[in-house]
Amino acid sequence: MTRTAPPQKTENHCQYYVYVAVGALIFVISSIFVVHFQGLSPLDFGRYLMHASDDTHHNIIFYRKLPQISLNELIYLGWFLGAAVIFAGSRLLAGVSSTKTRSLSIYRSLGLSLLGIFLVILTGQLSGLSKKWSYYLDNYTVKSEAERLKLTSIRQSLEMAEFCKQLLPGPHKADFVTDMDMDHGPNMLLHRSLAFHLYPIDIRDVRQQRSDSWIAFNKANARAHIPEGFELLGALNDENVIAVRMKP
Amino acid sequence: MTFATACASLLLPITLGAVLIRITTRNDPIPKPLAVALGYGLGTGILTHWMVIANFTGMPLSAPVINIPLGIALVIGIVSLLRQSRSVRRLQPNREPPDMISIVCGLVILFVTHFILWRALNFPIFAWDTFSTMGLKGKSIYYDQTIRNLAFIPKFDYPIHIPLLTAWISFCMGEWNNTLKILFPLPCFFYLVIQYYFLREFAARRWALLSVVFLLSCNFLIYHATITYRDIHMMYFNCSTLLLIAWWYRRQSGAWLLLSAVFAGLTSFIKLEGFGYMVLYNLLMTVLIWYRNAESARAKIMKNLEFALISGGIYAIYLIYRIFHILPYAAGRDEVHAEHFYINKINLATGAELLERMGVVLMRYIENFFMSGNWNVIPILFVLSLWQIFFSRNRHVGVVMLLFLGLFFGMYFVTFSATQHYVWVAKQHHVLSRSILHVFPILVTLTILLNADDHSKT
Repeated sequence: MTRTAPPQKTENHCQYYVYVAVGALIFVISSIFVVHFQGLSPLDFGRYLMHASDDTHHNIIFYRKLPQISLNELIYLGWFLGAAVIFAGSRLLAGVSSTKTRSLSIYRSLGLSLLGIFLVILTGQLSGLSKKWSYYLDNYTVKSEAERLKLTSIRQSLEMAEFCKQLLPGPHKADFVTDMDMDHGPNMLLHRSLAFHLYPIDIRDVRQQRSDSWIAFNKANARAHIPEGFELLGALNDENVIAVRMKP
Repeated sequence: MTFATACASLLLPITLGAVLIRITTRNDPIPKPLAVALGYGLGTGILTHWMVIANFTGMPLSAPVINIPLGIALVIGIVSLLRQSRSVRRLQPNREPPDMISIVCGLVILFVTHFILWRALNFPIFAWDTFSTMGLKGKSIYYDQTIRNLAFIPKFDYPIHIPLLTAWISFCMGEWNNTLKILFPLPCFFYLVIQYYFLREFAARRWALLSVVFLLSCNFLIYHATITYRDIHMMYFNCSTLLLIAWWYRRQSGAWLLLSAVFAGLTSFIKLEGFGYMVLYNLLMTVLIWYRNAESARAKIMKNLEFALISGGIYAIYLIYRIFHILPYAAGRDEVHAEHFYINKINLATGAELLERMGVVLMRYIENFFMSGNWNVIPILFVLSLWQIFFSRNRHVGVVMLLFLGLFFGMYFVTFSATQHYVWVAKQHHVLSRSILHVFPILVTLTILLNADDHSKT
């Protein structure tokens, strides 16, 4: 008795696209289901996806938190659910389909489900980027570099740097005094940005020269602290002052 | 106007690099966009090293001092290339029309890269490292026309590729302004080109384009391509070096060995950890060279030496400068912050403390890869794809990359767990993501490499 081999089922690439779409759909549905119990509508979830990664930082980026769950947790939930549905669906289809469709391995089901989630997140990301971009276009494009900087938290140091460089152009070495704690907290950034924007006026002793000027930044009653041998060149206000060494 | 000047100035190092790449690979021709993408790294590396050498001689740095010798080198290179061009084998361009997936991927890539470029050029410089050290160093070089004053700026012994590059482009523009930020998205874009062409050797166009989309879906990478941190440059050099090594491993051509050695050396000039990466490449090359049994021991030693001497020689240029012109002046200023990492002053943890730390660092890695918003779902895809290492047609190259990833993460894991660097990982999010960024594209490359077995033209 001869045994005939069962008909070979070939790989049908179109089915993969369908499975990816199923993975995406399962992720969206399961996420909407979960966030529904937190009082959020499907539209809210859509908006959340667009802005989930808005809090950018140079050291790490975390997705914005939903009330009780993170996007990462939703991803894992949707991923396993999607993979289970795709795996079961493909087996079912392979059994009943008259077309030559292969059932998928767990590995492929997991991969295709994850690709579906990737597509959903990417779509949210791209819509978020375009929204962010149009906001930036309104707020940044028409402004000069200095005006754009003034929108940031270092505005104060930039104003002082511009003021000093107008009064004292070119390279100079300045003694620096302040009441700020320059080694901790947000004032560290303010001090470093002042030093950066002031340069070629040097307040960090880069050139190792004798000082020819004196700068007080965020120093209470700054005028009263001008050292002997220096004269006032200009004052932005009571706390921000520049002085130069008097000629002998 | 300054933007046009900056772009025109950049043509000098990029063209010089591309011409040298074309000359080096004349027997094993590569596509022009790939030559340009690699040329960026080679050209800017030559430029900044030339600035160090020029400063050695005491010449005040300026646009003519830097650009004229490079211009002469470029003319010689072009003439030499033209002479060779008759005998050079030409590549057959791929004229196959792209499929729908490739078109969609192309549109996504265009959109995101356009956003990156726009944001980089329109957002002002606003970064701690730039204000505190690297930007100040760049400004000091630009205004003082020397690099000797760097001894008096914090982190005086750090590599200075980026400060030199920012100073150079400011010399060319005639002023220090925000346009210099063009230097930061460029390595990202050029790396995308390199990765695309690398994967095209193994997979269809849609797979290679998908790998680029994967990379551009990572929030952390997009953000870093628009700010003035050095990590995006580090990513470019580190990953390009590894891809060049993989190319060499596949093609066994001397040109790729030479190029990978040069890039390995240049990596050490971007950030302090670049030296560590250079050591890792040397280890990897030793394994790869000695793994192949076909050659004589002498040939293997020669290849090993070639790689070590070229990469080490490039590293030595700045090392010598630093020893003679920075460290003597910085003496007494090297007071070490208790939590900083200095190669000469390492505080090692041992025993139970080390074990406890290893657990914490491991958890930080897991959090970063799988529970942050840095990398989209790519790390999960990567872990899933590792299963394919046993079955993929491309597993030989995959193993090379996996070996490097093992060395890379092993080095960091030990460093973060055992040294004072621990505090920056365990108690704050300061360095982990950025160190991962340096190698992250390799995870993407490997994911695609292991999954894409169909090598059709489209």
